[in-house]
Amino acid sequence: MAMQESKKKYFGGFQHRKFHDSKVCGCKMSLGVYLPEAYYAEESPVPVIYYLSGLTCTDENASQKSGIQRYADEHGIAVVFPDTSPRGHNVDGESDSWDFGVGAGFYINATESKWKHWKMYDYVTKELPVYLMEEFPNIDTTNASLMGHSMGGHGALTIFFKNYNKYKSVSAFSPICNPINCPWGKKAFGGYLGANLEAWKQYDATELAKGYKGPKTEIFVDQGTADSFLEEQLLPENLKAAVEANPSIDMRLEYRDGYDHSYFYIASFVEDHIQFHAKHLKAEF
Amino acid sequence: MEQQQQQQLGVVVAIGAVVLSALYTFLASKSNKKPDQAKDKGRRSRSRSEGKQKVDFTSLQVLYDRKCFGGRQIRYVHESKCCQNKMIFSVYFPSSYKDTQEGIKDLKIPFVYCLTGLTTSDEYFPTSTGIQKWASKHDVALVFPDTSPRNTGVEGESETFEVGTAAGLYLNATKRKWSKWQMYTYVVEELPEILSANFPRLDRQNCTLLGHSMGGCGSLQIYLKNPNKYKGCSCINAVTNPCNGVWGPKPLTAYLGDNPDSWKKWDPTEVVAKYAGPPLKIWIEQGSEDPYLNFDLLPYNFKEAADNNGKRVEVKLTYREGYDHGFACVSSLIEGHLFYHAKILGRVKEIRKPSFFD
Repeated sequence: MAMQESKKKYFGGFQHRKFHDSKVCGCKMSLGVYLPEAYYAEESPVPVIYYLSGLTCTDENASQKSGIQRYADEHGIAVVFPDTSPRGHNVDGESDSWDFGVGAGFYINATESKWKHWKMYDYVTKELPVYLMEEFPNIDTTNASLMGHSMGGHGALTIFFKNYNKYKSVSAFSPICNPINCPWGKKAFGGYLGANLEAWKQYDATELAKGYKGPKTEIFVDQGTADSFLEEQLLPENLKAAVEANPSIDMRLEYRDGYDHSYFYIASFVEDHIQFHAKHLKAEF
Repeated sequence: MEQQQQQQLGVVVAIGAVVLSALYTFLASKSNKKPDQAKDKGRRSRSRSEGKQKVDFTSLQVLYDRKCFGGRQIRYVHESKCCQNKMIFSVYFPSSYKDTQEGIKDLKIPFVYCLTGLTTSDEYFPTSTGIQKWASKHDVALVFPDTSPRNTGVEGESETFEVGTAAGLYLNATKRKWSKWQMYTYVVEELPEILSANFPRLDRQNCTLLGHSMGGCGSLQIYLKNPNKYKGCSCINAVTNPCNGVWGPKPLTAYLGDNPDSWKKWDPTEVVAKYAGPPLKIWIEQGSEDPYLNFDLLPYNFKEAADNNGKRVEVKLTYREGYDHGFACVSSLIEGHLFYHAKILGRVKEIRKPSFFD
């Protein structure tokens, strides 16, 4: 991977590509950071959305294909695009399948020693905010939200439920809502966490929603009805059932008729998500 | 009849029904139905005198069909007559294309040919620029050709990014090695026929050209040579004078030979200098921080040549401060360009709110 940092003007702001040494992942990690025009105006610190990507993606797919920057610039919000796994460790079998290993970090902290570098949970929740504060001081990392697509939607939801004090809102496109009950989740958790169902539940949005005891919150889940992964892998109705039983969570579940799992779908509705987050992030002002 | 005989008769009738329906299904599949397409234009046959195969170039296979901003983003592959190879292209249909209401269903939809740059494909605009949002808003369709034939078997076709695959330069190669590289004929003649045969509601009389980078080069020289086929043309970060660029002479030599005189007819700056057709307007936007600006794009050469030729071709050249060459710039500027095309195509019905991008 050519490790060349870049900075491109994108709408009124700039899309950065950065490389930094990650202690928790034990390697260099690439990172996309979109800074809106408001960041450079330096009048007040800008809020930030972490956009977590799905299986096989790098930090570049969403920054190129989601179209999120238009709306981030409009609302004066920074967007951070992490990668989806550590890279370059050459762990045996890390690239054997597209749904496990490289490009498939699942935003967990692996406990199986073979995958000890797979610490994407700590990377996103602990390491990135510190890096951002140092590198981009006009980002207010205490005014942050989460969103994601597919595996990244699972990441956003689970991180939010476990850290509701650190994030203002969460939304997801076609998230993996109940990984302990779908093939992708079982494969990933089995590999990273071993055969320990209790450990798996700690990273399952549906299980976490059941046990959520934080302040009243609204989560936003977006789902295409023509998504080929919907029935076997995504299971939003399971999350909905858990949420309905928990008075502390409201769920806005938007089914989009005829849309699939792709970036064509995300681009069509990403504006709605930024508007949703802007409400919660701006509420501080 | 006795009950047993009745039962036996019932079984025979049931078996007969199954056999008949299987036979019917078999015969129906043989009749080669292709919904939504015109009748096959011709059958495969060898034409020995030309050494070229006759192909039914209008027969399309769908690679994918995805909903996007209310419309459909569809990718097709077909056998190309002029390129003698499989070719891929994409189309964005706004939601109105499928309207079957009385009075609406015969209305034609204007469209924009979007020509894309070196190393990219028909997927560049649809995946990386957000262009469909504006096509949907203005109710226009978009047609995205590829940048060359692919997997042709030509030796070294993908050896460098400068020549061959994804470097078609929208010209007709004359060198035998690159005889499949007939991108000019493909875009100007073959693709429109494909659109007519398959998508009768696309209005061929009401279409424009939009180009990025090498696609800007294609759009400009195609427009200048065919002012009656297109209603307008705009470009972002266009290659306007490949004869004088760093990259241009490499593919030009490969496709046309090393006599620069043979290159001129494909060079927009050379073409506009000699243009003698009806008055035209062209808009070129150029990012000021584009690293290729003074090496390969040279839009000031194009404007100068147009201005020196009696301004028959009125070129509006606008620089956008801080923008570079690629998708970040194109995404940022595309709203303005689709609005420009929508006006030309008669789709703008209201005054646009002022925007940052004015």
